[in-house]
Amino acid sequence: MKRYPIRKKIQGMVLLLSIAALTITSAVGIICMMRIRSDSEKALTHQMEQSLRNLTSDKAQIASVELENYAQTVASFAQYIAGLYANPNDYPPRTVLPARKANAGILTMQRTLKDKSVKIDDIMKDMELLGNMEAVWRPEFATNKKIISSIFLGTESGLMLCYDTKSDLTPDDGKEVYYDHSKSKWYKLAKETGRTCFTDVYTDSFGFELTITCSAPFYDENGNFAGAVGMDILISNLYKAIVNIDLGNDAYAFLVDGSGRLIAPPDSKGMTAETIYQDKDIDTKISDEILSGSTGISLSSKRIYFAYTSIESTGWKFCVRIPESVILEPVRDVGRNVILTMVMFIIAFVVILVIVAVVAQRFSERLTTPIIELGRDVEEISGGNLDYRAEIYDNDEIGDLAKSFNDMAASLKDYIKNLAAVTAEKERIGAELNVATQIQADMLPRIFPPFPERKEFDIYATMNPAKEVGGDFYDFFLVDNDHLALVMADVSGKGVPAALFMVIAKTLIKNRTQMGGTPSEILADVNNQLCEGNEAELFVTVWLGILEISTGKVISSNAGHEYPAVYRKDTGHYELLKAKNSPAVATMEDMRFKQAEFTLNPGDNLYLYTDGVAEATDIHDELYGTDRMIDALDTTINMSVEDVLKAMRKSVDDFTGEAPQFDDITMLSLKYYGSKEMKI
Amino acid sequence: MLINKEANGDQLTISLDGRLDTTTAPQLEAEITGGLNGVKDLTIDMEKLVYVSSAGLRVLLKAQKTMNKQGKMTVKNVSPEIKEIFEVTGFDELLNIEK
Repeated sequence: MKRYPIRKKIQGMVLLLSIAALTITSAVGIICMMRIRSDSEKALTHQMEQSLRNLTSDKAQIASVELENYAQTVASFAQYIAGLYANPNDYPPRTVLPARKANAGILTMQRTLKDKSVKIDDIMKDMELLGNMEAVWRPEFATNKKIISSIFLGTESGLMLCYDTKSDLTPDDGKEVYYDHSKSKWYKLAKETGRTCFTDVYTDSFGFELTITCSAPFYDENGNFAGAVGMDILISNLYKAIVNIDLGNDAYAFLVDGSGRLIAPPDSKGMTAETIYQDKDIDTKISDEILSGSTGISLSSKRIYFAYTSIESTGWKFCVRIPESVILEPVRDVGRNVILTMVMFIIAFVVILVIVAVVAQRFSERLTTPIIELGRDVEEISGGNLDYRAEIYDNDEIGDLAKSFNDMAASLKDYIKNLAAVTAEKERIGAELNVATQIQADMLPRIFPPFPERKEFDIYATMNPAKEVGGDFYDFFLVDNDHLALVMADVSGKGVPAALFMVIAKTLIKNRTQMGGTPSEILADVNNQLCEGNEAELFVTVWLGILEISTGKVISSNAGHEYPAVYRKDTGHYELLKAKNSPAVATMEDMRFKQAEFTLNPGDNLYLYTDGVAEATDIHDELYGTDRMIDALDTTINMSVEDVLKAMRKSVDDFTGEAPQFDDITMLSLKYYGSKEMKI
Repeated sequence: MLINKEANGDQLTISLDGRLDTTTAPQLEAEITGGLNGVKDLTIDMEKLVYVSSAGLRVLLKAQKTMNKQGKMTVKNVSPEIKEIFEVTGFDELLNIEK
């Protein structure tokens, strides 16, 4: 598995948290700015639309009022002429001379005739009557000298009177000048529409000024169309007043006439196309909309706003074009700010991350260095150097840990010191116990055969203590020439106390037996002696038998000991000699011990043992038991006494296997040959 | 071996579970030494006891001797195997075994 040191984990976590926090903050900031931008874009667009609407409406209003003034003036001329026709006798005849070049620059009324078919004499009356108009026109001219370039009228009869200063192009010979006014637009418009109207705009004959003609029809006393009166108006100034707007460099206004033709003075800037349909900035759909005479605002596909309205009197369209970028300029600033902010966020992001990474690195190192150092120190200690002490860096948890390790090292050292002492003590005791075992073993008769001169029996015995010193013992000795005493005993408990108790018991039993008496009497006396001062509450189970060698008769007493096994030659089998047992010796004072009798016939064997044999246990806690013991004994019938015990020991060991020996194993085997028979 | 004690006034029942041998006898001896103060009726329940060694018998004898001075001791639920041990060792004469 991949190893992730604590240092890396801390760094990783801190970096992750920082990135998350910064990302969220940046995202919130940018989203807010975007929203502000979007909102202000809407507000600005709305505001712009409102002001454009007002602007176009105002401008159209100005144009309308101005043009209406002219129309009214011309209409008043027509009315005046109608008045002349209605009351011709109220006005004096006024002669008007033919146009002359000499009059150039002089404000004067001059006549022209439609063509040569018109004779001046035929229309003299009309001329002298209409000549009165000079009096009407003069003040008008005087008032609006800069705007009105010419006032004129033409009649159906073929006369035309012009009142102006423009005689430059006429011949100067004093003859009639011919000009067919009936084909002029102003005349035809007035005649056809029957009302006051404006012609399209044109530049004047000198090519300097935008000019428009306003004309109106007049009628004779019978109400028949008699002619039309017109006035040339210089509208450059009006035009300038209308299109002059201040909405920034890229925004400008322009006028188009009813057919979509641009109305522009020769020196005007901006539009270069002749009609709005030729202007690629305007979508056809928007052009149609403009020409239909409606008022509105449209955004073209080139992202240019067009605001437009119609000027009623002339059918002109007033338009303002303004690129969207101009309107949204302030918003773009916000947009630029958004980008700038994002860049700054990113820079701040990177800078903070670098700082955080460095700080996290330093911090985690500061945190883990004591741990790593402590690890090395502990390795040193665990390597066996218990005098080594870990360095305590900080007064924190790691410092506590280091302190604990130092305490542990100190405790370990003490413990090992104590352990060494205890071990030494144990070794000493063990050595002493080995000596005790040897002494104990030396106390038991161990020279076989013990009575080489006695041919009536063979005897062999062994003792294997479970611990260094055991509580079992056996004994055999001749009481007199014909009596052999056999003792098999087991002191309760183990170890040194049991061994000491065993020494006393063995000595008492042997001494008392040699004084004579029955086993019952012997055990009763030994019992009372052992009970004295037996604070340890130890006791000893004893089987004591006295064999009359000559007869094979055995008198025995069993104080809580295992039943002995006897081999009967006549049955060919071993059997347990069961009799009612008495309690163990040293349990209670003044006890009586039961006594039993049996006889060994020549060829019979006696097998004595302690509970270490019958109660040997295997690893499954199963007891060896007397049944298994009898079966094993039956396989030893022809063996010598020594081999019997070896075979029994092997049988027990085979049974217990790897289970530890719980109890001392002590055995005694006696083969009885009888007094007559001799052993082989 | 497990030793379970159940006291009821001056009555005490000690239940033994397992083997009472050289290794475990000191446990029971520790319970009995000083643990029988004021007890007048001691019952030792051997229902779950599987084995008693001579060391165990010594402790039982010690308990019996203590109780002889201050009241009585009864041994109950003795299995046939344990009974045989008591008989062989003559303890059936020393202990008050409840049939």
